[in-house]
Amino acid sequence: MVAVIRQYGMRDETVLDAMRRVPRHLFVPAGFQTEAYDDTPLPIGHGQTISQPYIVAEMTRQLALRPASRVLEVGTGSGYQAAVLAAITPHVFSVEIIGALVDQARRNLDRAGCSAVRLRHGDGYEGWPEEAPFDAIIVTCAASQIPPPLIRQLAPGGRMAIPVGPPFAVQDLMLVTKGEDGTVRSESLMAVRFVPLVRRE
Amino acid sequence: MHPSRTRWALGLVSGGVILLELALLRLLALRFWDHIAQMVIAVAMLGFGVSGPALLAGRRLGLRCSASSLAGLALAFALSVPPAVWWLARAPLDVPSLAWLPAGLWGILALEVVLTVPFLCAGMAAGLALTDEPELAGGHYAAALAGSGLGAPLGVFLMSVLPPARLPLAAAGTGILAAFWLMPGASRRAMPGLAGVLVLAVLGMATAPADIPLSPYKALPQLEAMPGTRRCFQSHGPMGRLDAVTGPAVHHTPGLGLQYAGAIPDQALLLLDGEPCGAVCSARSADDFEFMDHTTLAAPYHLRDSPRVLIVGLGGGTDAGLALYHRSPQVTVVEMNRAVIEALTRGPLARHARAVVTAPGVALVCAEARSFLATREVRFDVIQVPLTDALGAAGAGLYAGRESSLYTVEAFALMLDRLAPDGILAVTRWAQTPPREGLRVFDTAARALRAHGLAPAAHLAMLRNWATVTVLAFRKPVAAAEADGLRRFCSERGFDLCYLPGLRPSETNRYHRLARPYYYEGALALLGPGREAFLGQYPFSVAAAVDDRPYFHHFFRLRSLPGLMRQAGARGRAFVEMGYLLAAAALVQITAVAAVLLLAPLALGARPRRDAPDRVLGTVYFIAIGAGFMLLEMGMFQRFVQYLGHPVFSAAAVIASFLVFGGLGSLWSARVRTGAGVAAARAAAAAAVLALAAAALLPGWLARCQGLPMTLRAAVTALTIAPLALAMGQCLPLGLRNVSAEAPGERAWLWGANGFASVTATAAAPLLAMAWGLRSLGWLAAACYAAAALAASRWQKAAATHCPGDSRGRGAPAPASVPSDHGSAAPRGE
Repeated sequence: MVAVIRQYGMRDETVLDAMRRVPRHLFVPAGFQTEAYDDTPLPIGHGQTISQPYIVAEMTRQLALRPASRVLEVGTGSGYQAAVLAAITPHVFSVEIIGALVDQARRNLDRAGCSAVRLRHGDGYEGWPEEAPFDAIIVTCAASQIPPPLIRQLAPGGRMAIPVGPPFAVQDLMLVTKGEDGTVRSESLMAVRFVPLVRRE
Repeated sequence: MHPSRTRWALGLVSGGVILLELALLRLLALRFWDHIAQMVIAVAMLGFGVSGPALLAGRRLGLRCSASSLAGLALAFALSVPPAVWWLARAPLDVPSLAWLPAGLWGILALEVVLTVPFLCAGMAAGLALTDEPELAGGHYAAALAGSGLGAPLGVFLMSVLPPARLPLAAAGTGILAAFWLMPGASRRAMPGLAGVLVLAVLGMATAPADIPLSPYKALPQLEAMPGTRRCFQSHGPMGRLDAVTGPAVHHTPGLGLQYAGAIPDQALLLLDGEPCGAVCSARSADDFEFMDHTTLAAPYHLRDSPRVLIVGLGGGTDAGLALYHRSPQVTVVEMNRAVIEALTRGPLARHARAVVTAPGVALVCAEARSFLATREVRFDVIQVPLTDALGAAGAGLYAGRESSLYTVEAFALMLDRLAPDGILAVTRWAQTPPREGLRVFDTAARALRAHGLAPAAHLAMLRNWATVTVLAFRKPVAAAEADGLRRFCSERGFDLCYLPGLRPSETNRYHRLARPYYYEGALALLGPGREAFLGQYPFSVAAAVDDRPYFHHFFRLRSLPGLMRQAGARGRAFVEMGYLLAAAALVQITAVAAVLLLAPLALGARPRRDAPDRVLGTVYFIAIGAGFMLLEMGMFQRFVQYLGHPVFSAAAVIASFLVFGGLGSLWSARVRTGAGVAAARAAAAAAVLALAAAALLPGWLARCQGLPMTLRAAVTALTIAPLALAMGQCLPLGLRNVSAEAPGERAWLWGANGFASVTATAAAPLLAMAWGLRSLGWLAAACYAAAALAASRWQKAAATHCPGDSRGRGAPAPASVPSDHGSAAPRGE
């Protein structure tokens, strides 16, 4: 799996090491064990997915985490992304709104030895104000809006990564950054290679 | 058995079949998405096609037309519906994952096969009655047509009164009634059993779940899984199921700018068939819509003071709220779906929406936008076409095969025409990377401006934020003050300008940064002499949509896929549009199933003799009329979706018209006394000429009649299709008359070939239309009929030689109930 991720041009050894250390099969439903290390998103029930490994790696890289970074994850899902984050920093906070997924993710994370990840059953739209500010926020589900509370909870200099597109059609990643002066900017990170260079008229 | 019994029964079953088709269209669109629903027509065709070989096999086992056999088939039709619906409701289909997990396509195949069974039973019943009682076939056939014709409007009516999951049971009920009708004179012993079935059916109808589970990837089930979510409204109708939910997890402000930190009122989310179509805000006054001023939709309001506004699509009323926030004195909202208007004006949502719907100056009009604009001479300062569909579904290409009459050059031109002299047309769509919807809207607006004789470069502006793109088309050239106003609007909100006359490259791509200023570069290319080259090399199809190719949501190019996969690895699959993939999969699967079920048995045992002189010509003729019929019918279905405003209305009106007039044509063919070969050639030639005329004249004719009320538009639909269907309906019976009655193998072979061509053409039509336009379907159909005419004119056998006596029974096509009469009955290969 890591070799495949490298083929995308990923060179961040911290992220690759994290991807190597987290056993993805522990987060994949029983029916999909043979695909656990394929570069494929897989269904985990409740209309949710465990993301394509490359997307997990790329989102993690964009957060530019350090060992002391505080990270908020919105949408725990299977817990896999939280486990990858926890392989880099011990300060991982994850919010999931679907109760059944919270329980499932807790079990998965414990089995993978990631008990330090703090999970909360709640509405990710509101973030986790008691633990704010965060150096990084990762939103694992595509949204047609970016919740204002999350932008507030992003620390100055912080980075927020969001996939663009529905579960099986993530076509782009978006990075929101907050300057030291509080100004918010965003950029589109992927998919741009497909666009041919257009001659200026 | 008295003929009237058979005729009532046939009428009931035929009506039930149309009802079932419409019900399945509705259910599949509700549980999954539109594109999957379209396979129903192909599945129905397949069922009726397969009834031919099935009847052939049945006859070998002693099956004959009798009250009990017909009743048995009618009952089989009825009893096969509940299992089909049960499977439809539970089939574990992860449609959005198909590009990644193609094994799911087997699930689609299984669904197609299960849904074929009721149509197979109904086709066998009709085929049995028509072929075993040839002397009565005319009346039988008329009864079947009457049933089909009535089934379509009945289906549309029932959609308003029955929940979707019970609609197919109503169709099944007609089968049970038919069986009942047949039994009394035939076997009184069976009565208790039938009465029991009827009681069970009534009980089943009363207790059957009113609901079916939606795909877990739709928004509604996901929201309902969240704590505190409560459904506060639900209604059903031909245009879909409308739900409203409230709760702490409901947040819906698509495209809200990142700088906005103010308040957003509590919301109820409105969902159509389980996907968001707008949020109803609990606003106390128009001032509570301040948040909407931080979307790209607000741009035109910063260029005009207190404009008279037309909003296309009510959604939850937030776009009207935005107009009120800007003190618009006159806000007209045109909404096609009456259920949406009723939801906001009555019932539990009315108190949420009060600040909008009861505000002075707000007028809600229930009409399809183009019909409304075609009939009103009112001029507006701003015409706003806001976002009305969900980001997720659009992103996955789930609407790729959906026609849209709103986002075409002709529609934009009409809107420009209804603007005040200094009016603005504002169209907002989702932003994607690489850009798709935004560039297509820009190109569409540019072409519409050109159609008005205006130079687009001076009349267009485009801006975007991280989520949405808004294109503004001005009646007058963009003034310097307006350009400055847009610059100010964008810089205050962190939005990016993409195009504006005189825009400098340094002013673009500043806030939501792309790797390059793709929108700016794309806009310049689309306005310049390099447009064609740009469109040709762009990895997605972003050229303007037109009425002839109204697939605004279809961007995928098959030829780009290898490049995408090479560059993006597995991630390239994310760009495959589900609508396109499913249409292609349906074509392959249904063709394969049709080949196995229709042709294989015939090829093995029922082939015409090799020395039969007309074997090749006959095969060509029957293939050509099968393909031609369905290409035309599918093309008309899609064309009339634009005209009638919704696929369900189009399906009902177009299918009923083709059936009734096609049937009348085949009845008429029985009176033809000239040689059947000559007559078949004439009918096919007439169909070819009419198909050509329709391809050339239909768009203009329908545009002329666009402003009529719905009932008159339905009448126009019927009258437009009538001459075509009358000619087409004659081709099959005349062709059959030309085949030796003593050559059952040959007739069965030709029937099978006709059925195969019909099914394949049905499944191929959506892909052909996406690639080459609706008009191309007309041309192809005309070519098919021309080929048929040529083949028939060379046919060596004369009808008189082969068809002594009454020809009606052999010549009359199937009754039936499905989109065409031509391939729908059993072969008369007895």
